[in-house]
Amino acid sequence: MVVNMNTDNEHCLEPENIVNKYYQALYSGNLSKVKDLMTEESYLMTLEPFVLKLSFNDPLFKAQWDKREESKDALHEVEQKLSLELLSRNLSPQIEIDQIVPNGLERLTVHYKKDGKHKKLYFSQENGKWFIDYFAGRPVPPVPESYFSRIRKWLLSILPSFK
Amino acid sequence: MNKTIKQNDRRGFLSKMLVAGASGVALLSSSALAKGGKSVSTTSALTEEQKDRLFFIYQEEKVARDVYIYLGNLYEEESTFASIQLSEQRHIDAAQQLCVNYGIDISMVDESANGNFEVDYLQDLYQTCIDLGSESLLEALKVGKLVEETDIGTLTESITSMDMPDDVIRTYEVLREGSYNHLESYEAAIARELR
Repeated sequence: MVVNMNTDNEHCLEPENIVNKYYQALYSGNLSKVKDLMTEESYLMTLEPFVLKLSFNDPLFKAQWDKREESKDALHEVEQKLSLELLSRNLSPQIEIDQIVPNGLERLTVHYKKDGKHKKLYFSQENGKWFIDYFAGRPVPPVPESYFSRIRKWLLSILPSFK
Repeated sequence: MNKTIKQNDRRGFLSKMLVAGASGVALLSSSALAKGGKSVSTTSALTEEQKDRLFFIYQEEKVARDVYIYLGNLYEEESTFASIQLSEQRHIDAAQQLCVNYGIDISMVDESANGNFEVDYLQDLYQTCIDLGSESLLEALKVGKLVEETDIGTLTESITSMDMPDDVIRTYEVLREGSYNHLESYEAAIARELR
């Protein structure tokens, strides 16, 4: 998994706080902050629907977006245009956290309402920091009991004096 | 989509089809044909990242189908949406079968819930597509082209850079070939509409 390696302190935040920060950053056009809250792949995916809208009748903008992997300058130009567009929307959605559901040890889902509409965002953890990660929604089975802890349990069951 | 890349992809696809025994590559099968023609199972353990990708592609295929259902209902005179949406259902079935084969829990995905998606990005993508496509038939056809290009991009990345097992790669190649065909249909329909 490609993870944003930015070491901003924002990642000390809990996921429910990251949801708020994400929308604040997105609609203030602060894409560098958005990038900091997500895995790299998820960040680019977040931009995609906005890019589609802007590039629909603007082949040049689409061409810039298509060059994003080879050229940081092209991505930077796209980000600048998107940033202005997002800012012009003048949105500040009301976020209400409903529920946080763990998914395995290093993933969780935050269920929330955005302006009253039910939504959810997936998170994965890397080096103790949480990132929004669109690929982290797959249900992960509970962590299987390790071989050694099973052996220990068995030993304790047959040899009570070991307790 | 770059025409040369597309042609190269297709050549690669065709050569693999020949090696595999062409018609033996079935969308709904997890087994693959070895060079000698003997059927062998290639289902092996996947990494967590690979499983995530299989699960995501299953849901992404549903975006295409649901967008075409919406646009097909909006522009009933245009048959392209209706015919491709049937094919998209087969793509969903194939992607779902891969998930099943690899023991991926797909219970949270409700295929019958048109226009509803678990992943926020896919929900936004769907909404953007139907908003743009609602403007006119020409815009709707352009949306179809764009959806196919997006699918081809995701599938290509999964085929080339995720070290997937052979059965997954073969299935994704079949899906991508289908997407190229859909792309051509949309391009033809756009050209017709512009005349």
